Amino acid sequence: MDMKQPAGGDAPRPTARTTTNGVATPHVVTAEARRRQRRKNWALLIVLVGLSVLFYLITIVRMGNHG
Amino acid sequence: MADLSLRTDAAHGVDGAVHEAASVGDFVQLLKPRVMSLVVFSGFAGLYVAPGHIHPFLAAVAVLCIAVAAGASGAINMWYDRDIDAIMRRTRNRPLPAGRMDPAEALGFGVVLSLLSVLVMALAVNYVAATLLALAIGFYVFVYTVWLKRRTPQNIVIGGAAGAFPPMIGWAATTGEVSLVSLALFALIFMWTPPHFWALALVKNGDYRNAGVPMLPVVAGDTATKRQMLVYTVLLLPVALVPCALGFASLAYAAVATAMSLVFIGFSLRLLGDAENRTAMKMFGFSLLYLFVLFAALIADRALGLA
Repeated sequence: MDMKQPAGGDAPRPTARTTTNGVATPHVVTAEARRRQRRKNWALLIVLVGLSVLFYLITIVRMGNHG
Repeated sequence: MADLSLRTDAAHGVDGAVHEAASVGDFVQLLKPRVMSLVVFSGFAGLYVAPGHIHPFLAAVAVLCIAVAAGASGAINMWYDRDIDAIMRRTRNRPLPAGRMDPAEALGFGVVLSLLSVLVMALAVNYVAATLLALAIGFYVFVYTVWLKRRTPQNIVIGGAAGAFPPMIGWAATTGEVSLVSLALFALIFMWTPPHFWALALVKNGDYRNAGVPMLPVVAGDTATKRQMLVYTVLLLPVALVPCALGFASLAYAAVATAMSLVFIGFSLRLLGDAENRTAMKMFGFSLLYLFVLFAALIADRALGLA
């Protein structure tokens, strides 16, 4: 079985997964799984940016309080 | 080791399959958003009614930290309880027992959010609030979830302390200390928790029995549970009036607290004579309203300058 991933498109992508006994088995990543992963990546990006802004604002407010 | 094998099976979901692509919604579900609303409200109430001043932005950060910590504790609880969640009808569609999420992912999510919430609270607000927040998380995870829940019918009586922390944390966020009034708010939720949870446990008795969770209705039966619920609701009346006795709340609050407590006692009495437990869910619903109304009355007291 060809383990290479296609360059693009929504077709299922076969990838290799190693089981506990060390045997590589084919594992198909579906279009739905990729969509979910993309949404999670965006959510994580928003959280990280939000956290950066939060720390920035906390610093500004606390410096203002003690200034 | 038998327990461990059960856990491993449950981690693969009730259908035995591992689904690796958890959605954003699954992570949100892991935070128990419905439970979070009451925690956030009581935390905000403690913060708002406390004497002193806190910058509105830092107040919002404090409430956010309380919300995130509550959600994180819920996520760790779901990770630990995934084996019994798979057995109970009420919980079997949660992301872990349904097999939509890797257990390690859920644990990591909960631990990271817990640490982050305490860290931000310490940096943005103060160390007392952060310490109380860490205590609340630790109490919920280690004392309630790991130690008490599967061992004693008094699980939610002692474990209920974890849910009683938020107003004290909110209070500490504003004042930087723990006072008698904040302890009174803690006691209010602590005494409220047993009748609140047991009302639900009476209805979900079969679920808890199947999962082997020794909730009071499973161990002692319905009647003994209803008697204890009555005792707690009767004791709740004077506890609800302690803020007035300390000179912190007005007579208007006292009137509201007395009326609501009497209705709560009325529900307990009705439930005691209700062999079919038809009143149980109504009492559960009223218990939520009870806490919202009492904290709203305290907020109104402070906003209108009545106390």
